[in-house]
Amino acid sequence: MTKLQRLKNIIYGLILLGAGIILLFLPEDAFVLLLLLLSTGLLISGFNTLIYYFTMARFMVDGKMLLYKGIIIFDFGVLTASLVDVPRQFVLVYLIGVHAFSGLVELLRAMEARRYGGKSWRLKMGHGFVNVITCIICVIFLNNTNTVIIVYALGILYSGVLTLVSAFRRTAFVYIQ
Amino acid sequence: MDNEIKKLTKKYESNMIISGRGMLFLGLWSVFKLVVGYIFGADKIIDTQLDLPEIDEAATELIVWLIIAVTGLVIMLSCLYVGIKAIRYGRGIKRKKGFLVIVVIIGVLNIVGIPGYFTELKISDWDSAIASALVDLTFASMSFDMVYSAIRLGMLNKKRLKEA
Amino acid sequence: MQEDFHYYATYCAAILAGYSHEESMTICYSAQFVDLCSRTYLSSIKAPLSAATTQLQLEMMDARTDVIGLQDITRIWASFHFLPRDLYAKKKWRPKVYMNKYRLICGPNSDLMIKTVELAREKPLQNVGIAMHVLADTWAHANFAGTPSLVINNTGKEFYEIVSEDGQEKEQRIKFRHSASQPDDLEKRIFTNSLFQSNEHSIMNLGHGRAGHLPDYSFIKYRYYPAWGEYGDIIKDNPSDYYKAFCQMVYAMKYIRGKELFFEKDKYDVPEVAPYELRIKQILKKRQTLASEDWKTFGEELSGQEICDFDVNRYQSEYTEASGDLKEETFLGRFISGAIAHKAMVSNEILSSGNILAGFVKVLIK
Repeated sequence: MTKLQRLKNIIYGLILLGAGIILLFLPEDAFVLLLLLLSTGLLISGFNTLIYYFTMARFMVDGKMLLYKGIIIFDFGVLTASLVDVPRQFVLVYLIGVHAFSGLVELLRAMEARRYGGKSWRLKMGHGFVNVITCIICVIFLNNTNTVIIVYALGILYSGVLTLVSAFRRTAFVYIQ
Repeated sequence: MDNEIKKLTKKYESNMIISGRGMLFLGLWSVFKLVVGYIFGADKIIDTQLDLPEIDEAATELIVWLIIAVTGLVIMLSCLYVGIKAIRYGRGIKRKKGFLVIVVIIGVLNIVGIPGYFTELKISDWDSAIASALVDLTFASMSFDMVYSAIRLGMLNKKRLKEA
Repeated sequence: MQEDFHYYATYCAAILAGYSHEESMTICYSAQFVDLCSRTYLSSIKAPLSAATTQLQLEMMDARTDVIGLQDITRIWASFHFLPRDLYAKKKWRPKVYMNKYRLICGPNSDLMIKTVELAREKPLQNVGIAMHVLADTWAHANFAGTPSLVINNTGKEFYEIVSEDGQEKEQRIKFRHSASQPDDLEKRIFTNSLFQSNEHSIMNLGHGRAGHLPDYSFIKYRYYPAWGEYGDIIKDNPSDYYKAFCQMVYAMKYIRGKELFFEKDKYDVPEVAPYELRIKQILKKRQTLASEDWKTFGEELSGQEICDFDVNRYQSEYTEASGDLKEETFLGRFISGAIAHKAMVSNEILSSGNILAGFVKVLIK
């Protein structure tokens, strides 16, 4: 991991910790904040990916995948932003779904890292597993909004802590000179 | 085999595989949006969009859910079918072009549906309309790209056999 | 390329070009030292950091990937390890931002290579060594660029080794893994390469990382699809390319010594090498990750002298104990001057072509 990547991970981990704490103590305001953060991040990422595709990646072999990725991320961002005026329970379901998806992605990444002989797969696997379990618990207690908020907030705090831990880990750097 | 034919064959095979994968992802995404859109806008859909007689709410909701479920299933299955076929076509596993009919239908439906996002549009919904139109446009271009690549691969194959 | 070619093969080429044993040792040491002269090393001997000719893994991990950081990386790697083939290449319908990277693709027989060799003429032997390192790498690292770029340095997933069996060429699929600790398995064709990173400026997208160490193995002939190739494949015949690199080194050093009037592109006709062609090709084609022992034996037969193993600290104390202006007259002092001059020349050429990826040059030493 480069210094810049570590810094990004630290910032992201701190944001997650902050979001989790706000969600625990100020649930009413936290939802809007979470949605705005998520949608802004996605919109910027999607837009950047599209710009990159049209200026550079369309000349690259198999570059079209980046176009589709950019479109989906951009649309994801717009969809997330449009949920700001939706009732809290539905937003919670949406955020749980997004969290579960990211957990699944983490599990897939862990399996890939394991297949390629990477050493960080255990941490990724644990992270992904806990994310998915958190979401399942949230779904089970869906009728009890306060419980769900607490469980979800704890899930975000856990993700934040793990992101910070991985930022300080020594990583095997496969770089060919 | 002529170098140019090799390059073009590789390009169109790769196009088919990428488009096939794109079709799978965009198909899943469309279904997700459909479900989320309904969950968060159910009241609007039932009250303003549907002109149903006064039967009880539960039945109305069930009917709409069924419609959503069936639509989602059709989208999912067709994208899955087309995506897998395209990937296999690109890898040279099976070169039957039957699936292209569904591809054309998907492409045309996506194009035809775009103006619908901009009729009776509120200012606050412009961003969603544009984003949805972009997705549909991408879907359509992916479909036509798939058809074009399949046709070109067929032509290149004939040319290659002729030269051989 | 690796130590086997940069150190031992360069020594052999220098002997064949007519240099003495001591001169050849200076040249080959300098050629190999290009792969080790990092900022960390220069800092440890209190030498100018601008003379860095490489970056260590740890330095890469800390490298900035903003504009300034990318220019710094490009200056080093494009100058010493991925000398651009054509700074004025043209391609239709490509924006400037893409062409800036495309024009940094490395390849042999470039105008820059001519300038590199000419720059080494009438200069200390350390300059010759630097030029030979750069020349050799233009052959090994061809088709990759010395700047972090996904759209240039990425490759397709399919890599095939082309092997000769019963007089016929057959393709065998190559597999890659991303494990830093496991060595390449030549028998099973399992090699290590860098992980795919979709970020354009990721360090993983610098140079030939996506092809692993394949460009550095002299024995391998392989086929792959470069990201910039518009679905055209490239067949990289390392045994043939390395032989041409060797012959061209001999020719270049003869020119530098004044035994040839001109240094021209695409010229390898060196009668000195012909008697040893079979021997050299045997070394190049032997299936091994490092051919140092074979080259060393060959070199010692050529010169009749012993070639001492490379030691990065050999000239360190000479430099650190020298005072003030006398440092420039030491071995490392001459190497540092040569490296700065070469880097300035290449960076200046890149900038003159309208490409700002290598940044601005403060000093041009002639």
